[in-house]
Amino acid sequence: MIPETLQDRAAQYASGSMTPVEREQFDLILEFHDELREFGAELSEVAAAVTLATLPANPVLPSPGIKARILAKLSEHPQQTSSEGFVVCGTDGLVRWVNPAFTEMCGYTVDELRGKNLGPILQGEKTDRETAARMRNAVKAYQPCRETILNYHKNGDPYWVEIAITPILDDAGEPLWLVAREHERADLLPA
Amino acid sequence: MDPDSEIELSAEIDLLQKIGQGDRQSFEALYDRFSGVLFSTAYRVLNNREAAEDVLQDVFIQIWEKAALYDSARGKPMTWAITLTRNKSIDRLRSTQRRNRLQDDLLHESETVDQFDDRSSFDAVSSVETGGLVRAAIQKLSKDQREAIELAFFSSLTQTEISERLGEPLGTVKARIRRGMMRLKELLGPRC
Repeated sequence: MIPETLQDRAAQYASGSMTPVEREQFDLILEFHDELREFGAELSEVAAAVTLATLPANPVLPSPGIKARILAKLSEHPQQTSSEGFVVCGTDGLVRWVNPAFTEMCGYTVDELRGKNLGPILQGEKTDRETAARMRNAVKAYQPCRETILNYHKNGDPYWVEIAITPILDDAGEPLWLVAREHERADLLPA
Repeated sequence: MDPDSEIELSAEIDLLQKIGQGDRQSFEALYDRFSGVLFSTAYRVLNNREAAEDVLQDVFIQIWEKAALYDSARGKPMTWAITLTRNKSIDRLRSTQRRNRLQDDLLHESETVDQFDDRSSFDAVSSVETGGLVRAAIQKLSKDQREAIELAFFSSLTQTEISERLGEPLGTVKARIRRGMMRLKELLGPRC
């Protein structure tokens, strides 16, 4: 059963009454909460049906030149081919879930990581201790943080990764989860 | 879902998959299929052609960038595109704080009156069958639920602002919107 506070947020998300920041946070929850994603999809279908039903019978059309304008801009916008790595931790800082992109990045599966503290597993000899400490402190205090750090793949290879940690709070401001979005920075590895 | 709708859905998912592989022809086909609805959606929120065209451009660029990441578990392609369009339109409306001017426009711009009748309410609906069914479902909501959902959908207000507007606690407003949308889901069933 989905808690009412999350059902409320799903309704808020689908109806369009979320702010961009709230929406970004909710998108993170949808990444790992299967039941909520299904519920949110159902409400989004309702919202789309209402939107379609309230449009005029004869649609207003964009200017003819818009299509060409958009097509001309496509080459400036590279397509995203792989999703970011996501890690969800409980308020105890231990892993609850990771997505396949994260597994691809570090080599560890969700079953290998669930219930564990990621730092000692992924950090190694050349990981900057101060950066690791800043991340640890942010997690303990449920504060958002963004850092770039050297981690180590399961096979021992180092990789740089940009990590953005976001605490997900309930309506009373109490933390529910910590979500980390991770983006590999291959450009930072020495050639 | 009826067989025609299933074929249509499958064609749209196929187009998105091809767009995700960089296929421009599929992108053009999706534009031809979606642009009228998406532009109308943006125009309904923004009431400004230029702003709606900017939003349409942003939405299609985002579709191009993220087509490979499209997840059908989050909704049908058209639902995904409508959600993107509504969100971008509402964000734009909020950021430019044109709300008061829009209300004036509503009263004075004949073009708007001709096209939308009353853009701030559920009374203006299309005459197609689905529109009629959705309208009938909306009429079955309680007055409080309808009012809260109308404001959430068409006013560009956040839930906190809706709560202030209605003079009701935030929790009450949230519950009305949630229950109203769940009731609509129940009433509309697999049609939506």
